[in-house]
Amino acid sequence: MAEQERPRGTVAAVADVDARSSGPRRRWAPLALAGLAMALAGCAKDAPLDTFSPKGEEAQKIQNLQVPVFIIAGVVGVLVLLVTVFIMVRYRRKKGHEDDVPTQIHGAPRLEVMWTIAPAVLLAFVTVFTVKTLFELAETPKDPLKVTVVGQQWWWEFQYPDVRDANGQPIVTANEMIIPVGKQVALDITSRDVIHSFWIPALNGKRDAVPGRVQPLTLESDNPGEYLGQCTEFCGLAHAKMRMRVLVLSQADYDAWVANQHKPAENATDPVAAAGETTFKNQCSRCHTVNGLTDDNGEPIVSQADQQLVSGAAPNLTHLMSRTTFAGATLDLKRPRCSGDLQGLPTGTPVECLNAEELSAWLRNPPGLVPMDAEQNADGKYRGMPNLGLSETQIAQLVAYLATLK
Amino acid sequence: MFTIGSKFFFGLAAAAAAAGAVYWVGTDLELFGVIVLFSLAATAAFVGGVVIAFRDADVDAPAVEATSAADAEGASRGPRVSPSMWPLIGAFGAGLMAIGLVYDRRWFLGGLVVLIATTIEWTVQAWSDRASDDPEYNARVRGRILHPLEFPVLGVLSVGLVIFGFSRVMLAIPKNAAVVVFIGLGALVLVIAVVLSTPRRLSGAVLSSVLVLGGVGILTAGVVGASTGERDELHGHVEEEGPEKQTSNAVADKSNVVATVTVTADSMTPTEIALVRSASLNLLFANDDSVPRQLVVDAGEQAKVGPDGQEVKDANGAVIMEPIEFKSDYIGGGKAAVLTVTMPKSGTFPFRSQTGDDLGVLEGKVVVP
Repeated sequence: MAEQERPRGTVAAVADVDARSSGPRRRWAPLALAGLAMALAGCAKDAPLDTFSPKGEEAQKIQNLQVPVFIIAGVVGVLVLLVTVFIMVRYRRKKGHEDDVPTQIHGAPRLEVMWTIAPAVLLAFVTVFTVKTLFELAETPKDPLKVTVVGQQWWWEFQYPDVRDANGQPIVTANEMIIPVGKQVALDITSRDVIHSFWIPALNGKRDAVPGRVQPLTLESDNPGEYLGQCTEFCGLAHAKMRMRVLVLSQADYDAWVANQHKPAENATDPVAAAGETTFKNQCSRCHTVNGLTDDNGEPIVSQADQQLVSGAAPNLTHLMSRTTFAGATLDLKRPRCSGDLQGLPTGTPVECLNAEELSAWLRNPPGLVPMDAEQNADGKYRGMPNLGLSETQIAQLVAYLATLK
Repeated sequence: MFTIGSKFFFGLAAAAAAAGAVYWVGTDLELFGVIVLFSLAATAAFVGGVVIAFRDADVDAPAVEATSAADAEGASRGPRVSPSMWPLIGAFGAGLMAIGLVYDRRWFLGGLVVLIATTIEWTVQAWSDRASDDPEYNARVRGRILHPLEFPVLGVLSVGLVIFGFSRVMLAIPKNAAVVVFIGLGALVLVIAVVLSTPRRLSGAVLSSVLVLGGVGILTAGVVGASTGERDELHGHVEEEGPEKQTSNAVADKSNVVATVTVTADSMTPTEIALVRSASLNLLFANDDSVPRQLVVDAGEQAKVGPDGQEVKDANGAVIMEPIEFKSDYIGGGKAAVLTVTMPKSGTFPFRSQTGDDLGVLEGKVVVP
């Protein structure tokens, strides 16, 4: 009956009103969904870069500071929002009183003093604990394991200046830092090209890697395991793919790893691997170092990376198979069924575990897997690894050779 | 005989000469200060003479001695000229330039800047003094032209001086104390800002006093900090830049070294250093010997490059190689300086400390993984 009494055109008019009112709703809906998704993302369990899951003493100190600060900030934020909403509702323009002008107040000394002093006191309170934490984090550890961390586009190098082989050569590795459990590690962080930032959130805060400067940072882990990190200073095309890992081993496994790292590479005996070694000498050794590799005259082959790359260095591959990843720690060196297993780490990846497909794909066209500016610049140098134009046979031979680098 | 302006300059000359004499005796002839003070006296006396000769720049003034202040006032019927400090400042600038010619180019440039500023200010003031018979109007005219220039420049100078003074303090005191001082000063600024923002407004005189006292306090502390020198960890040794020009005494470099090489007459520590390849790194070279020493780091060889940017080859077509060496200046006994090196290749390389003529050589090695 009511429908019948509705004047002509009413339905259309109502539909127009619905369309107008639902327009903004539709626009807000994606934003609301995105906000909800972001909020829910905070509930993720598998979050290796979670800053709220400390696994070491230094990270725990940061956690002890940031949780109370977040709570204080949260309470203040909620209070401010509530007061703002209350004022918006309580003093909104009301029907029938559109022309009313509220009482105009100029200056409220008590209020102004209160909302100046209260935040100042609160900030002073937070400052005391912040400064205390900063001083604690800046303390130099006693008898640490020293590791020099060098960032460059787009990978990390780790040198152990005090852990040397019989020839006095320190251990050098790439993208994965191996440390013993429960041992304080004193890092000296620098860069070869642009500014990077070293960050293993489970073990400590961030520290910039700045060319020409050496910045200290201390790490320690209470539990064996794998802790992921990410460069957090935009450093070029492959910044997002510039990752790192800290692998924490038991003291026995760490000692085994050190012993293995001290061994020079052996000449390949398998014919396919030997052919790969020749290709490596001709192509790859211009930038990459393999300790113990010699030329036809028996002289050690020294990398000429300073003439090939803007950064002047490429990863040392002497013990490539003792790593779990490659290409800036973005590609898995092990097959999925073998990944996550740190037991085989100290002495290298078994052949059956080698992710040969991904390694081959990388050798086939590196910039195809990781975006790199791999064209020569005006000085004839590259940023990242260029496509070397290897044949499939050469790639297979190289993979066979690299598999021998335990 | 003595005009009003000349009395000021002759007074200044007498004071500077007296201060110079006292300084001479008190410091047992510290040459630099004596030169500065006596140069100031000479310059002020010269300017005083010029001022007498030109009768305070008043061309209508009779070249006779006024018998009274009233006569002196009445002797000139031209426009009323504002009292001006610019002759004094100009004289200071000229003195600074004269000293700079002998001592340091930076002083000369400073004097030049002062003289240029004096020229502009004095010219505009002389012009505005004759704009009308109304001194207030003349002052407004002057301000309209010069204030847009003066206020920003003075603001930058004031802030710069305060920052410079504060930085000297921070470099002089221990590192942890510097953090506390920094926080304390920030809190003090906050407190003063809160006090100033209260409804009961402070008078201009109080406000000015607080700001001036604060600025002078920081500057004074800065002077004390600069005279005390940088804290030990920064090795407050300063060495003049030598012919090698690879040595630095910048605070940023000294506070960021990967290794410190210390030498005495017969020993050097450490004798082995591990350096990262292809990275720019600072070595602090501390010479505890009694004679000047140099630090030399060999970094292998590189292809010789001609002026055209191409590698130079010998008659057989082989690329000519040349050694890569990083050398510090000769650092005096008890002093230190930073040598920045970049090792381009892996390997083991020698480094050495030597006295003049390659004598007194102490050797070590650099390991580059």
